[in-house]
Amino acid sequence: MIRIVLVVLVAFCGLRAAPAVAQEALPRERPSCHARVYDSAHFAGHPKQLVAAISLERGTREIAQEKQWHDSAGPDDSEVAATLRVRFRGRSKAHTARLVCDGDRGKDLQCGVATCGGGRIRVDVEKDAIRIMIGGALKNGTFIPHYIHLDESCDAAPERQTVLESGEDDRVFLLPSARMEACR
Amino acid sequence: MTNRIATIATVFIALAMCVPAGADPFDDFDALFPPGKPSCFTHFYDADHMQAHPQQTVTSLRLTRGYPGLLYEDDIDKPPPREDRRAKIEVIATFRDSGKTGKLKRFAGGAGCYVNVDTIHCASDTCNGGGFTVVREPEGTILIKLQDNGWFSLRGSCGGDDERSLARGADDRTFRLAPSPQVACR
Repeated sequence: MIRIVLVVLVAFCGLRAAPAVAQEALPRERPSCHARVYDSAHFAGHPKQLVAAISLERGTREIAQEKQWHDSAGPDDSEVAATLRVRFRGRSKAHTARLVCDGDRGKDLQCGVATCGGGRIRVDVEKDAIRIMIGGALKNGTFIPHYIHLDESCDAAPERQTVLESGEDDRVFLLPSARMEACR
Repeated sequence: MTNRIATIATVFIALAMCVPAGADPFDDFDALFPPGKPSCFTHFYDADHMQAHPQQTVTSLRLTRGYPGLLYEDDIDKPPPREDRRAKIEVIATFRDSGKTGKLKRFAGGAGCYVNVDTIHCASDTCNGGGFTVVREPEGTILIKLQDNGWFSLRGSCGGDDERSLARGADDRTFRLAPSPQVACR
C-alpha cells in the first residue's frame, strides 16, 4: 500500500515538476544573468565551436517589458523577456537578440526573437546554470538543425543575415549564473 | 535479347517520366514532406517582378519544415498510416514595407498539411487562421494557392497582436516556390 502511495506521489510530483523546470530557469520579474566565456582549453575539445562568449540577461529593461505584458494580458500570462548576446570566435563585436520566452511541452522554455519570426532557442535549468539549446534530435538520433537571428537581421537575404546556428559544436551551451555586469 | 530488354526499359523510363506530379496526392505529399527529413522552398522576388506586379505585397516567401515541427511529428508513438500523415510547416513572408521605420521585419505562421481528397491542404495552427493548397509541379517547384477570398494568418512578433494575412494584396494569391537548401529558409 505504501509503495502504491509512493508511486502515485512520485508520478504526481513528476507531472508538477515539468512546468516548474521552465519557471525555475527564468523566474518572472526577477532579474538574472547567465553568462559564459569560453577559453582555449574548451576550444581544444570543441574545435568547430564558433561561439566565444554567450549570455542571457534579464535586467531592468526585460522586467519592465514583462510587467507591461502582465498588466495587459493578465496574471496568467507566462511569457518572460530576455536578451541573448553572442560573440563569435575571432570577432570583437557582440550580437544581440531580444527574446520572448514561453513554456512549451511542459519541459523547457521556447524563446523566439521578439520582433520577427526569426528562429528559436530552448532554455532549461541545470542546478545553478541554464542550458541554451539550438535544434533537437529525433527519436532515431537524427539531429534537426536550427538557428536564431541576431541583430534583427531576419528581413535580409540569407547571405546577409547574422545568425547563431546549431553547427556541429554549437548546439548546447551551459551558462552559469553570473553577476549582472557579466551580461553587458 | 539485350536490345529487347533495353527497349522495354526505355519504354518504362519514358512512361515514368510522363507521369505528371500530382498523379497521386499521397505520392506528392511524401515527396514534399518525407518523414523525418527537413524541407525548404523559397521565392525571393526581384525588383523587376515587384514592379510588374504592383498589387503584390509579398516580397519573399519561405515554406519550411524542420525544427521544431519534425520533433512534434516525431512525438507520436508510432508512425500513422499514410493517409493520416500530417506535416508541420512554417511559412515566413516579408512584405514591401518590411523593415521600414516602425514596421516589422517579417511575418511567420505555422500550419499543418495533409491530403484532403485529391489536394494537399495546409491549415493554419491558429484558430480561424485560414489555409492554402500546395501543388507539386513536375519541375520540383511548388505552387502555394490561396482562394480568391482566402487568407492565411501570419504574425509579426512573438506575443504581439500584429496579425497579417499572406493574401494581403490583390496579387498575393498564388506563389511559385523552388526547392532550396535549408539555409535559405532561416
